[in-house]
Amino acid sequence: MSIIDKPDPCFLRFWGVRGSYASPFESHLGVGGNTSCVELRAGNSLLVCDAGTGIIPLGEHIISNDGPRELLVLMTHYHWDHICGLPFFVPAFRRDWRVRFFGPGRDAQEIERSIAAQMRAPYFPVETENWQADIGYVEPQCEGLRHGPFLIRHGSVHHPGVTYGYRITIAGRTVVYVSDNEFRFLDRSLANAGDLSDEDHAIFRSVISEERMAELALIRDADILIHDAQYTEEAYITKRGWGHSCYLDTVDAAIDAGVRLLYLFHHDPGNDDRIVEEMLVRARALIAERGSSLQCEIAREGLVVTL
Amino acid sequence: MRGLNEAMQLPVSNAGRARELSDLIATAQGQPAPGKGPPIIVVVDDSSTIRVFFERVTRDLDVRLHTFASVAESLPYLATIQPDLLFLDILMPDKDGLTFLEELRNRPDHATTPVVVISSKDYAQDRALARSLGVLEYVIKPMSTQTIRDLILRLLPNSTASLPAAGVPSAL
Repeated sequence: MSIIDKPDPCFLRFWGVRGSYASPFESHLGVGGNTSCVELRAGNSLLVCDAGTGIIPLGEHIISNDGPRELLVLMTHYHWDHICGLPFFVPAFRRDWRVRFFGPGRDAQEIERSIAAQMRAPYFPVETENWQADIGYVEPQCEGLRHGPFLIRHGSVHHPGVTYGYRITIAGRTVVYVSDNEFRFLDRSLANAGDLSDEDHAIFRSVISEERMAELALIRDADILIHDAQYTEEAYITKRGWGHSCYLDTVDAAIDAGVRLLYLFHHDPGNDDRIVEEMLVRARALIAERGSSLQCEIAREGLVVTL
Repeated sequence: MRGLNEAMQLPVSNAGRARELSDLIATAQGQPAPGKGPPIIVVVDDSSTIRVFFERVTRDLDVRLHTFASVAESLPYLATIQPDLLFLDILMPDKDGLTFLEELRNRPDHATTPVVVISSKDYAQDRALARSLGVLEYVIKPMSTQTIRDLILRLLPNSTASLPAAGVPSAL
C-alpha cells in the first residue's frame, strides 16, 4: 500500500508505557503508570501491541465507540507485565467481538496455553473458556502476518525466554515495536571475559560485529521505533543481564540504524517523571553530540501519533 | 536483538548456496550411518565467524562437521540425518533456536538428539527452557576454543582418533 492509499484515520496511541509493574503513583503519572500496550489504527483495522494494564482502558474505550469490532493482539512475550491486562479486557467478553492473538510459540495451541495460564485457578476466577468473543490464535507464518492493511514481521530479541520484536508496515511507513530488549549484551560479556586467549578475543570481536548488524536489522530505517529504554546508566551497572537496555544504548542503536523518530518506552517503575525527563534531555544531548537527525521523545500514556 | 524472518533470505538463500546444500545432503546420505563412522556434528548459527570457529576447533578431530547459517537451511539436512551432536544458537534471523528445538523434540527422529546450546543470552529463564528440552550443556558466548574442544571430547569420546598426542593442536 502506498502513502496515497493511507487509510483514515491512521495513528498509534500509547495506552501503557511502563515496564515491570504498574506504577499508579502521583510522581509517575506525567509519563504514565500502566504497563505495555500500544494501539495502531488504520481505518477500520485495529492492531494492539501487548496486553499490559494499558489494554484495560483501551478495551473500555473501543467498546464505547463505533469503530471496528475485531482486532489482532501481538504479544512480545508472556511475562506478567505484558499479559496482566487481559483478564479485564472487555471486548474478549463480548459476543459481537472477534479477537485474535499472536506471539511466541511453535504453534497456535502453544500461544493459547501461554495466554490462558494466568487465568487458570487458583490465579483468577474466570478462565479464557469463559470469553464470549470469537477468539482465535494465529499460527506462526514465516512470510509474515497480514491484518487489514498492516504487514507484520517478527524477530527474536535479547530478553529472558523467547521474546519477539515486531516490524509493522502500514501505508508505506514502518513502525517497529520492541518493548523488551537488552542491547550490546555480548560486548560487555567479552569485556568481562578474563580467561580468553588473544585469538579467542579476536574471534569474538568479529562475532560482536555480526551480532550488532543482526540486532540493528529489525529496527533499520524505521520511521517510528518504540523501544525499551528502561535503565539509567547508573541503574544498568547493577541490572545488566535483566534483559533491558540502558536508554543511551537504545539511542545509539537508533542512530546507527537510521531510525527517524524514537520513543523511549518501558520506563522503569523506579524512575519518576523527573528522572524520565532528565533521560530525555541526556538522550537529545547524545544525539546532538553524534550529529544525528534522529528525533527522540518519551512514550507517554495517552499520547497519539499520526502515522 | 535479531532481525527479521526476511533477513534469512539475504546471505544464505541464493541458488549457489542451495546447490551447495543439496550436495551436502547427498554427500551425507552417502556416508556411513551415524554410529558407523566418525561422529557427525551439526552447528546451526547465523554467525559466519562462529561457523569458521567450529571448523577450526574440529579440524584435528575425527568428526564430520556440517554448519548451517539458519534454521531453514538446516531443515532439509536434519530431515534425513540425526547428528551425534547438535550445536544450536538461539537468536537467529528466521527462528528462535529454542522454538526450533521444541519442534525438533516433537519429531521422533530428533526426540533424543544430543544438543548443546551456544548463545550470548545469559539468562536463567533460557537455561531453564533449554534444560526442559533436554539440552546437555548451555554455553555462553564468548567461549574459548578450549571449552568447545573439551566439550566435544567429553560428549563424543570417539572423536579423538586423529588428535596428536599433545591434545591441542598448535594451530588453534
